[in-house]
Amino acid sequence: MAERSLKVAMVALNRPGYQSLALGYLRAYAEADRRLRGNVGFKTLDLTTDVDPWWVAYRILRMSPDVVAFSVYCWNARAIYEVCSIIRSADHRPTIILGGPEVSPVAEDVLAANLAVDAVVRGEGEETFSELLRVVASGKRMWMCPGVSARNGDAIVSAPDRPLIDDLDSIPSPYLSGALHVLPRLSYIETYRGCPHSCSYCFEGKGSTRIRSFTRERIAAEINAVATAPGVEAFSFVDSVFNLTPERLHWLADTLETYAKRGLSLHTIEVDIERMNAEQARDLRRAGVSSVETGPQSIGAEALQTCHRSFDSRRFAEGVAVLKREGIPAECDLIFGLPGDDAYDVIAGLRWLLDLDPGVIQHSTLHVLPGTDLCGRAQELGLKYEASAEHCVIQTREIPFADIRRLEVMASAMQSSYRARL
Amino acid sequence: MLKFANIVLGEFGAPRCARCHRIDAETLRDAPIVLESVLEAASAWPGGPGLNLSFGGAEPFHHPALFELLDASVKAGASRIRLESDAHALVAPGIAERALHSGVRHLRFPLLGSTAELHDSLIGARGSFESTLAGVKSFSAVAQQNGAAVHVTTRVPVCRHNLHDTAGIVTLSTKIGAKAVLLTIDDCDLDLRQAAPWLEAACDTGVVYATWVEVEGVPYGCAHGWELHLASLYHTVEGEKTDTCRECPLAEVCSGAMPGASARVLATCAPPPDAAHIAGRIARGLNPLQAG
Repeated sequence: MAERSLKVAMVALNRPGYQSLALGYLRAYAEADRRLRGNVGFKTLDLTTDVDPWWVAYRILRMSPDVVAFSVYCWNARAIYEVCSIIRSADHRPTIILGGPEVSPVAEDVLAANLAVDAVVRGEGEETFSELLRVVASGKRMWMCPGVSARNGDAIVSAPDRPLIDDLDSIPSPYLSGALHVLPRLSYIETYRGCPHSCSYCFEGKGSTRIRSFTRERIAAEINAVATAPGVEAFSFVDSVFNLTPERLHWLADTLETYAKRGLSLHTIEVDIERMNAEQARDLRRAGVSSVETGPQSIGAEALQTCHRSFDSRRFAEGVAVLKREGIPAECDLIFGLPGDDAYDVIAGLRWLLDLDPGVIQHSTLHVLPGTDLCGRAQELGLKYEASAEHCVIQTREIPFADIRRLEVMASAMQSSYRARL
Repeated sequence: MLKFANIVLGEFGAPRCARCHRIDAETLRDAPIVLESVLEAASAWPGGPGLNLSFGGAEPFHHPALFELLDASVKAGASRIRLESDAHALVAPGIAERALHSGVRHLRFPLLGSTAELHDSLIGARGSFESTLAGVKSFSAVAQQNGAAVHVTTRVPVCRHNLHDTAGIVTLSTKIGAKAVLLTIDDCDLDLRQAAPWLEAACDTGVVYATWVEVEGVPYGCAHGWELHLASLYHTVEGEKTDTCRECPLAEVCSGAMPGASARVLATCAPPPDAAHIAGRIARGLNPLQAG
């Protein structure tokens, strides 16, 4: 079958202040695919969630795309489904493809609930999306493409899973390839994929603690590209644990120090604070880290056990202390509504963090995300949550609806009070 | 939840209902004595976030040495300074800026009613309501212009004359930017069991508007279903208590009825039947709000 040329619109609805690294990877990989070259043109729309879905649809439709691809997360899913519906009503021609953590684990459900959507890419997207574009261009069956769930007439069919990419360097860098422009404060670098932890509420590790890393040459080249881009004074890393190993952190600090000395800073770096010691804290300062983000998410023994998290209050406090000595504030996070935590545990967590005086205290309410361990055990654990995105917890066995809302408001007031200081 | 050390600037300056209480003339403490208490608070600060100081007792802006005392507080290491003020003075040109630049980041202002008519009549001063609102707005605006994070809260002395307006006061507080409202019982004869539904409604109003409402002076037994709003859950209970409250098994964690509460009121706020059980749970570090 002759291949037709494709105009591909790649769309992200980011939280304000963010840029989609995922779309950058997808585009970089597809643009480097020799089988697509010359036949497929890409346009990225990196928009924010505060844009009205009707105007998002307007911008997409004005491009007359053959394929529209969205990166879907819990915070943008509702808006994206609405955009898809508007696009489909206005134009039956474009192939609409979704991917991302919100849809990947529940691909068939998403297709059943959203008739405007043609296909869902499951799992790691780069290789699958690229192949799917070849399938669309050649008019073949999408549901036969590994890693894809799609429609076959009235039926929804899922092709077998696609294995993870072993050699991450086979994915071209979005920054080095030009698929993604470096933007001041909005740019993020990923040095590895996976997470050493397997917290029940998180989809980061996707059920595995396997770590796959980019090579140091690749990481160094990306850092240089971002750090030397015009106007960039700060950027960040998306790595789930920046201090994955002391040796790796030391190397990163060596690499970043040159830029830090020129005034470049790194913000909201996620660390495992219980591993933090004086040497690691010094490395973070050398790297130009201006703030770190960390747990404990809860200090309640039952919740920690249920969510497969460990917490050592002494080591946590020591980690905060060594960072303070280097002038690095720690943003400490608590999650409200974890199974096993009652209202008193939540208040105890806030009190404990206040006494620790880490610099910033943040709280969020549990999102029971598709594909997570908690999602699979929600009924057993007595979790009631929104069936549709953002999957916010409504009530738990331990905390009734009203008390979760009260705790949210109380914690916000506490944060405001804590933040108001000289 | 943040602990503040109270720095007493004087007496009889905190606004309260003139119909319920005899209003004595405000007195001010000499600056050296106040300074001494600032230094004492600094040296006795137990650690954790702080030093946090709250200036009250008398209207802070009536004190001639206020700004010197604020400067001394900053030098003593204060990281949070709160003024318990009617905010009237903050309307005058330059005062809000000066307060901010002197380190004030927390402002707690009194509201006795959600309308000028009620507030002014209870305070006994016409124009007080509008002056307070204007002062609060001025402070918030100056903080915003200077990029300073401030925390503005409302203090409501609750009595039989404004109990029914507490939800309205919470709503108004939200509209003028208060992040929290403290309802403090200030009526020795207020029947707390009868008052409870009004207070609960005020708390719920706050939740709906995302403004936290804390209640002081209501024992556990009168707050069934909305115990999370009791200030005693977040603060160490300090100060003199009535004999009845002192003997209660919950004395360590319950603010009890207000000092001076009448025997009739105390009879209605007796400890709940499971007080000993709740106290035992607290002692074991368990949730006092849940049975079992």
